[in-house]
Amino acid sequence: MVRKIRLWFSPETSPFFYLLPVFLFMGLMVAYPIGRMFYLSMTQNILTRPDLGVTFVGLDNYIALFNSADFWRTIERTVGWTVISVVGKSLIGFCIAWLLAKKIAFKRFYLFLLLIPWVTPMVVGAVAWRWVYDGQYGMLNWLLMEAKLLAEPFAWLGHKGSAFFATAIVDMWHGIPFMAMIFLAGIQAIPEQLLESADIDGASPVQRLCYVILPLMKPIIVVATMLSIIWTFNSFGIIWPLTKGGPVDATEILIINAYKRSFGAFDLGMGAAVTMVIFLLLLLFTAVYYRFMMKQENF
Amino acid sequence: MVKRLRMLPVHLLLWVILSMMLFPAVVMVSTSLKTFEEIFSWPPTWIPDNVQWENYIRVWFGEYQFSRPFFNSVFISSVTSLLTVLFAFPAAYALSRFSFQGREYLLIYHVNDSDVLAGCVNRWIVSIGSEL
Repeated sequence: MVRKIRLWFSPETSPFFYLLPVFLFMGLMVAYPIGRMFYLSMTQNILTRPDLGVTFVGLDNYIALFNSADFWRTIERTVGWTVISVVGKSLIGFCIAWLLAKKIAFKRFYLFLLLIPWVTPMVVGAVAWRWVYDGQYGMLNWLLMEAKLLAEPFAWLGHKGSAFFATAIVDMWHGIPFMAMIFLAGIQAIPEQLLESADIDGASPVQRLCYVILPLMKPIIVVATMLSIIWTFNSFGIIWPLTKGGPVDATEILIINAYKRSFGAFDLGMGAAVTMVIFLLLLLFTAVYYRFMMKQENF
Repeated sequence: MVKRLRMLPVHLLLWVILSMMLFPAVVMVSTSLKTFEEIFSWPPTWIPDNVQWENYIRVWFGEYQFSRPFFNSVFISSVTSLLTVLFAFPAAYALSRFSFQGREYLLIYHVNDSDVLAGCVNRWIVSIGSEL
């Protein structure tokens, strides 16, 4: 018995002490806030109405959310925005990785240029983009007008439809380098012999891509897109400096909605309920996506 | 030579993609070197007429007091990286050396990567501070 316990805790045979600091830290900084959010989401707690006090209301906040058509539209918008951004990031990132994986000159120089959007802090990048998109003095307007594609200046962030795509493009811009780097590492990890034997067997470049490269890269693609979806879903740092969720609510994704409720209207209860919805949605998505994609691996 | 020419489309494509990616960064650098009036001139200039290097000096020493936020950022990022390495290093060792139940589930904490949550932690710390 004593021997067994010693085995459990010995640093040579058990991971216990290596994981303990992380678990303590995460417990304090993650599990506690989530627990508190969960509690907050079941209270009526409006900071601007101290006369109402803090009352426990059970699931009323969630019921109010799910009965509101606006909230469902926000969910749809969030999913749409995330899908557009992640698909764009993955495709463009893959193209860049595919090009950079060839034996070309100046590879390191290209890699250096590629990393610039990534090392630009999110908010700094977003502010630069806001200037690019500016309706009066924006460089994008100038470029399009020089190319005769646009007759007069257009406020890209001032219209509902264009703002939706413009913010998604900024998010893509910020995420492409990460995707490209991960995919590049994935492509380069594929053994040379496999590609050579595919060549010898007479595979066309498309066949080589579909039947050799993509299947071998599947685990990397799954993990990279999953992380990217989680980050994009919570892409507060891009949208807030660009549009603050506007115009009207065109770019108001769930995280912006939660922030506005909590720190704009100071309705902590409803804000916490929205955050819990985000949390549970992502948790569910991660579990399903990971399981589903990795199970197919065994075929 | 022929081989080099064969790679030319690859280079061209990379240049097209990268120039689109670097467009806002170039705008940022070019704007940072302009005078206030030139920023709002139409048509915009790529290379400023008279390059204002003193913008950087003004930001650091002038009325914007950039040095304080800068050192705050340096402090926060170094402490964050230090703590991350400190906590993650043994955990990574555990994940790579041992196999145990629930190993793959440790990935899941990425879900909590949200700014609002961080804001709440912040408020929580602030509220502890005010209760003391």
